[in-house]
Amino acid sequence: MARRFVSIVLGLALALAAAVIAFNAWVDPFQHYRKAERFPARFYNAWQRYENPGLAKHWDYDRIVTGSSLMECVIPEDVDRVMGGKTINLSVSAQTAYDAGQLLGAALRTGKPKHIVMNLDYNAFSGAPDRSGFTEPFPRYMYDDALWNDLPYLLGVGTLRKSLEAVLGLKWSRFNTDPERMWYWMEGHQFFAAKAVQGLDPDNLNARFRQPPRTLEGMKASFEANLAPLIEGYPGTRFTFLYAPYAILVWLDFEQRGQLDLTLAFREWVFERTRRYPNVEIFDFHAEPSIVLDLDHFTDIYHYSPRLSQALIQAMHEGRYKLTPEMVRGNNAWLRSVARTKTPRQVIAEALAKPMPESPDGKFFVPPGGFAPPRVN
Amino acid sequence: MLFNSYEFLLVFLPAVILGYFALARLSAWAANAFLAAASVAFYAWWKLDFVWILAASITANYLFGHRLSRDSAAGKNDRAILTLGIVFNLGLLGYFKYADFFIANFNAVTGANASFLRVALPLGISFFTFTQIAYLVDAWKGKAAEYSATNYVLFVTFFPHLLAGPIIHHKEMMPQFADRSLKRVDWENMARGLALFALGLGKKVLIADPLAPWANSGFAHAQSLSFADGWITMLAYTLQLVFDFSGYTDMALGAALMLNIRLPLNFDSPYRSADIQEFWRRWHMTLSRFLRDYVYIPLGGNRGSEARMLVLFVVTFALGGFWHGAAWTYVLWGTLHGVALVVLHFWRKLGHPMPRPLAVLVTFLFVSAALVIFRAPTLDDALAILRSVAGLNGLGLAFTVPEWSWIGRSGVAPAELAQGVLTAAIFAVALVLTFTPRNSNQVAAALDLRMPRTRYAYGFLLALALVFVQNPTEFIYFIF
Repeated sequence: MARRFVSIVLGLALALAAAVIAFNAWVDPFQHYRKAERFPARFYNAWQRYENPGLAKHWDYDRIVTGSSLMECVIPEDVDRVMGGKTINLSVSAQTAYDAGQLLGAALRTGKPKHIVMNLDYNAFSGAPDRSGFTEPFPRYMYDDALWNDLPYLLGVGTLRKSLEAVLGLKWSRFNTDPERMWYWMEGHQFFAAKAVQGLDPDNLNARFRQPPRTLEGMKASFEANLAPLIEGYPGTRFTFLYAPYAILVWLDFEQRGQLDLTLAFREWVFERTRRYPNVEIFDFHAEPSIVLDLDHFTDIYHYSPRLSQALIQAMHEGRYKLTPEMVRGNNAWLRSVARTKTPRQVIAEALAKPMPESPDGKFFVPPGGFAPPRVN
Repeated sequence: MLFNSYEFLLVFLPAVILGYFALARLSAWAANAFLAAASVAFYAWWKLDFVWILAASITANYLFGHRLSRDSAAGKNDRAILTLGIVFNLGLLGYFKYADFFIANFNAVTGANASFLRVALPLGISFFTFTQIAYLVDAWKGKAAEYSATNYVLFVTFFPHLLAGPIIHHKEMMPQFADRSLKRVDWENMARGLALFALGLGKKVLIADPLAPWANSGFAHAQSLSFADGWITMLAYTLQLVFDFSGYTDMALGAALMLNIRLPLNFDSPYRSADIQEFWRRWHMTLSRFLRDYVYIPLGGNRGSEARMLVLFVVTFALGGFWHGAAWTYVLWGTLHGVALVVLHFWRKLGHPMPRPLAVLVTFLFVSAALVIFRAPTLDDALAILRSVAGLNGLGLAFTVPEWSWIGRSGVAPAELAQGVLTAAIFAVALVLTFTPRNSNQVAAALDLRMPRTRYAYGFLLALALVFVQNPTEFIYFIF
């Protein structure tokens, strides 16, 4: 009797588990095995670390745009219109260098990407070199081609929920369906100075964003562990790094937390470290006063408008803001000087005093001597 | 390796059970050696680097124990060796677990700026250290003698108890490992062990883990909780902890029983206790036993004056608190339990016993409130939560914590609502189960194996638990 109990309990449990595995493999909600075919593709913002590697493996593209939430709203069509080719946006909220390294590694192994456009966010280099922006264990099994370690994906309840939602047509989870706007979040957001400084504590600018502290050595180690091997391992792929602009308050926050000097040193170090590679270029928008000092471009101190996002692509394509040794030093000097002469209270007061624009959807940006603003659809 | 991982559930455990009983047909020693090797592999799976610490601890304690047993058999009282052995164990634990705590306190008191060691804490070190201290004391007293290195390694590393207890005694384990009649598959034990394991896994992944985000979020918002938030936070953690720890222990007991090994009971419906003394007879019972036998009694126990005994209550529990972690909040938590025992002592003297339901309620609330101090990252956060619970910030029923802010709010997204309602339902079920008359050990022991629906129910439970083993929470970027 006891033996029969064991047989039936184990048999039933394994049979049900096998059914779940088969169902999840058939639906494949995170496109781990194939590009979405049976059901319309769903792009789940909260599951980017699970879904992006599948997109990297199974979608067609020759350029990857990636980075943190700053890059999520870059529209591939806009990039293609300016730069040509076929772009996919594989950005990840709160992306760390480790997240980027794992994702780009999986993508580069496919041989598809010829061009990587990646935002270098200083916060991405904080902590240990294997720190993910995800508090849960990083789903490494989604980043390789091995089948044997896929059980967490195939049997997990997170996958099962998404499979059921796809089959039943439920829209419980948050997701986008437009491949041009997989991770787009800017709808409903307003971009103007008073909004950008909302909720900030001038004595503790980091209180709202809770960014972890960094060390220069830690940042270098993270770069060496996560990005340098890809640059060196794929010399035929062009790596375009950009320092996407922050509002000046971010630099005041760095100064407030004693992170300014090491951040500027890191910028200089990255430039020197990558100079020798012909497949690397860096664009620096951090020291463009007409962006950094004009908070009407922003919805908070980190995130800028879609209009500016498009302008950055255009500017890079035209070779503007490409770093040279003189620029690194000059830009650093400017950032240091501004961060040490302005005060958070002063900047916040000025922002709050600014009238709200009639259309608070971000300002057009024309670089000095610049280009015509890109058309907004 | 964790019990609630696929590698353990689908590979390690079946392979060990099959290998153990297959080898036992050839040789009892081979089976024990296999089990010991598998247990070390189980430990090494987590972090290979720390195997040497386990190995060093086992080697030193085996040698100390060997000497103590031999001397004890010869009628020699070798207190110096015992002291050396205990100092070695406490030194190891002190270095890996408490060094930075002592440095931080040294810096705070002296104003010095000594560097932290930042040593990673080897998993299970508190458990395997206490197990071996108990062994040394027993060997010194002549109650335990182990001359086989294989058996000793197995005693310490036996995988079901290695990472999270129960804290076992040599004398209750070794006869079982030596008993050849236990080296054959016993389907009764296999069935009840499997049932207990399934119940434990279910408690862990279907109840404790889903409650964790609520508890975590409540503690993360400690400084801004309303009255309702405070209660939800406190109870969510109280329930999460008991289902997590007792679930894990059930899995340990169940896995061991499948191998015909009976581990000591560690939880016995602790929240149904009517006073704090009963609570400690039902909660982490093997730790209570250790503290009684190896701390409280050697320090004097009930043998001295009443005042001394009461002081010992507090000291023993403060040490018990410190064992849980290197922070003053743990010490305070333990001390509060010691003080509660003192209060109970005087209450009993008054001769006015409470009605049992009221006594259970009072005990439960005390335990829950003390657990806030146990869990909170700082005393300041703990006091903030307790102030909310006590209504000192007002008696408002605002639900402000993101995980349950959907309550009473309109226009909640379906996914958020579904997740919230599901967790609330789990919360309610956990609360009811906590006070139901039979716990998982009793259920597994009384199981009618002949009933078909029982088999299907356990099969379904196991399958459900397997699916929920991998239950990642959504990544919600805190800005958006």
